[in-house]
Amino acid sequence: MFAARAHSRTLPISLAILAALAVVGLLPIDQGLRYIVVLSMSWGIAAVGLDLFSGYLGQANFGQFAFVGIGAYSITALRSEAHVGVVPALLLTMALAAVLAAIVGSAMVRLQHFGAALTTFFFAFVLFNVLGGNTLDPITHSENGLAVPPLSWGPLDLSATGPWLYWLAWAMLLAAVLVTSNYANSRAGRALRLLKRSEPVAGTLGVRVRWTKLSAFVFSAVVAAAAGLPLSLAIGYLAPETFHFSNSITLFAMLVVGGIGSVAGALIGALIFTALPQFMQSTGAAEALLFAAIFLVFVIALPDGIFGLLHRAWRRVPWSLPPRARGERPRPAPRTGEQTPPDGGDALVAEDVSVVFGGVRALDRVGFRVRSGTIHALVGPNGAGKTTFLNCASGLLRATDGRVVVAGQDVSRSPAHQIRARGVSRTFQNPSLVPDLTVLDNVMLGLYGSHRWSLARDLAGEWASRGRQRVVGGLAAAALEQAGVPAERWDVMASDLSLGEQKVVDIARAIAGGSRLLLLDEPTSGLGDGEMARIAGLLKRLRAEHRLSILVVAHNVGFVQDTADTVTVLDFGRVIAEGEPDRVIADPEVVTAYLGVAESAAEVGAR
Amino acid sequence: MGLVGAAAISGVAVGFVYGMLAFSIVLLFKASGIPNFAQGNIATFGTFIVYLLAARTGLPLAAAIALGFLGTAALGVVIYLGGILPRGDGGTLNLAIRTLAVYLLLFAVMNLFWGVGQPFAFPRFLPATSVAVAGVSVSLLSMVTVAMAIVLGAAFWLLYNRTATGLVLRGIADRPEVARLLGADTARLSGLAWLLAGLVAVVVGLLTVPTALLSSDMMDGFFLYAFTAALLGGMTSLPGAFVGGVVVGVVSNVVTVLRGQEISILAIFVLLIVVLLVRPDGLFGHEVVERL
Repeated sequence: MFAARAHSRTLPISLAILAALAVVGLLPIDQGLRYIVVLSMSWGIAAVGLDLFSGYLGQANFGQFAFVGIGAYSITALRSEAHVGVVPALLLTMALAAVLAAIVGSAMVRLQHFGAALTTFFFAFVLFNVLGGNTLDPITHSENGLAVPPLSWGPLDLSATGPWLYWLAWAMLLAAVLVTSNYANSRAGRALRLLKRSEPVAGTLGVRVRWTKLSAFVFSAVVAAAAGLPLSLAIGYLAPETFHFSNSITLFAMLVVGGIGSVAGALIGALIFTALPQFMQSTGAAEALLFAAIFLVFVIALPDGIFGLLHRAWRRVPWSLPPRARGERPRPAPRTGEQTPPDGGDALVAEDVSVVFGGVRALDRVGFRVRSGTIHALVGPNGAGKTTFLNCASGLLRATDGRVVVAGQDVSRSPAHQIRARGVSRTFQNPSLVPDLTVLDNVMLGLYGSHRWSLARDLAGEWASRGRQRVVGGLAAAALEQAGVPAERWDVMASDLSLGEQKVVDIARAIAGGSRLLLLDEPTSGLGDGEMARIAGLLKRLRAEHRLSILVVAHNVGFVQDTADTVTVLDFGRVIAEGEPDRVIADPEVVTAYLGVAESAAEVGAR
Repeated sequence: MGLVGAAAISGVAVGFVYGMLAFSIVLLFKASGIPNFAQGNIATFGTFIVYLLAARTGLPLAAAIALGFLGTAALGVVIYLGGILPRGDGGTLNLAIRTLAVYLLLFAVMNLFWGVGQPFAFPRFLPATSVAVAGVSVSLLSMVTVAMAIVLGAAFWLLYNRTATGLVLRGIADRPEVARLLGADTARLSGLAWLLAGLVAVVVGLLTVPTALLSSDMMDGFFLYAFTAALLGGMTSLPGAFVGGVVVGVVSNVVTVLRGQEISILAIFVLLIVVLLVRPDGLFGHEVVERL
């Protein structure tokens, strides 16, 4: 949804900014400036969390600051009313934010249109009213607000005037940056970018769409709630106005101006927005006007923010090195234990499948069998229902009637990620690679559902998931080799590939998970003869060497004759012919459907 | 009819105000695909223009209102030309964020230049009389509100169904690329939609100030309710916006009487989520099929 691309591996830049902040902390700066930097680091924590949800997942969250408010109020109330220690108070508060975010989020991730944007905005409005209202008065003290008790931790004075609050905020910002960077660069982060690209595609690759979106939302809320600790200590007094819902928009503005989808950009934005007013000595209203104007100019002219600007400038510098392949290149793993049903079995059986959209019968009692280890072509004029059938077979669409059986199991009611787990993978007519990930990363997404992972491991960083990463990288490399993608192209960004290459990588991603059945939607459309021959050769090799079953939607007659063992012809949602390619293509009914000969002749005659 | 009944009736009237604001949001969304988060502040801005002209320059109220319409229509066009049209191909979320920036910008302008001493009492332009209808007293304001909603609805129905411009506007809403290929000047028509939305916003503002004081944040709650109404109505249905508005108005008024304002805001929030979960395309919307 965002034009701005997300960046991988920006941790060094974030760490450089944190190092600069550490230097500032060591300088003998005056109390006022120290206070401002603590505030901006607190906002920075919330902005970093927001970046994961908005920059990497590409979803709007216009209510992030509400979670900062929940954090600040909850930590303070636990400390001052319930006399809980600061660490348990922080942990309890993060748990509370997780629960609230899970409740709001589980509804939000199902919403379409601008559901997420409006619900988050509305949530911040609700919170502002609750903080100033009577319902929670015993805890929030309504308009009177809450005084934040001073805090010391052992010998460390963490109150607003003490020297150590700066380092608490700094350490928490460091933690937020590390954990968020790990998330963004892990398997889970790649899945977020895939979701940003297309939710249906993510589903067919085994990503649990709603669960993954919800995890990202809860994560960003928990990070924001943690920001409530340094913020509350710095300001010393909580009032509803401090958590006015427009602050969430200001936070979003920081992220956009700093550079969305880069983690480091969130830091840049938070620092600029909080530090600039100090140098301008202006009033609140004039400052708000200036920031709104800056925000608008950035969204229009520089949607990828300051980080994006610097990134592009850096790439222009002649001495800047090309992006280096990270670490060791994975070695192709030997493929083992591919499950192929015994010869003569059916890889897929369609039994009287019907799909009705409103009054239109897109599929009308379609039935055919894909024998295992064969290439089966599905052809027909535009609108015949070919893609609709693939959508049914891959779980993106429920058949109104009938069954789709894969390797003996009915999958007509299964969600996409379960069908994928049964060894069915598909490609789409428009290659749906994630443009801001490399070829290898994209193919690794194909293994998303087939290996056990945990988000906790992803958050802990690369060292924790390195072993798994190596296994999955090896399988992805093997798939790329099988598909015949030369190794020097593996580290190229998907957005820099030609259409033909994209289609091949898309197929590599589909076979990476050890699939038994491939559903390919027009793998040759838009390709020249040479590239088409490359795809034909690849499919024949997959059939011969790996005994894969392939159902391919195609338009090109030559391609079908070259590759397919069997052809099924659809017209207006119905099967009108089936059999060997040469025979079917000569069938007069097929010729009529395809070329509309009889119809156009009649039309010409009528004129 | 007790207190709850009276609250429900006044909820219908205020629901038409939400409905009108929702109507202007839907109007823009249909013409340009943009959810305009600044629409509430555009209404406040227009109301401020009328107020400043009437209360501080001594202009007759009718003239001030006329100039307010003119100024807000111009504001709509300026926002479109300056904020939406340049590099407008960055995707809908990018455009939605621009309207948020406009929201902040208008808010800051109003606070900086006109906000000193707010909230203000708007000069009375409707007598505070009410009429008993079926045992419930209905204020003149409520009746004027409903009448205005009907007039607006009828005017836009005529525009959409009886004029060539309306036909092209509908075409843009359904298939923007096709409309462009057929030679529709989408930029001019989107500009027109922003102009019309500005006009509707002033009506909303003027119908709000008799019962609320004028301040720069006057429309914040209104706007969220109106956006909720628009989504309940399906985001693309003009009559749906009014139905959604009335639903929101009645629920919020009745809950306010029973449990107070705070719970009523929460109730609308829950209503929004529940309706969208049960009917993701709203009460009157239709499913948008994504081509893969």
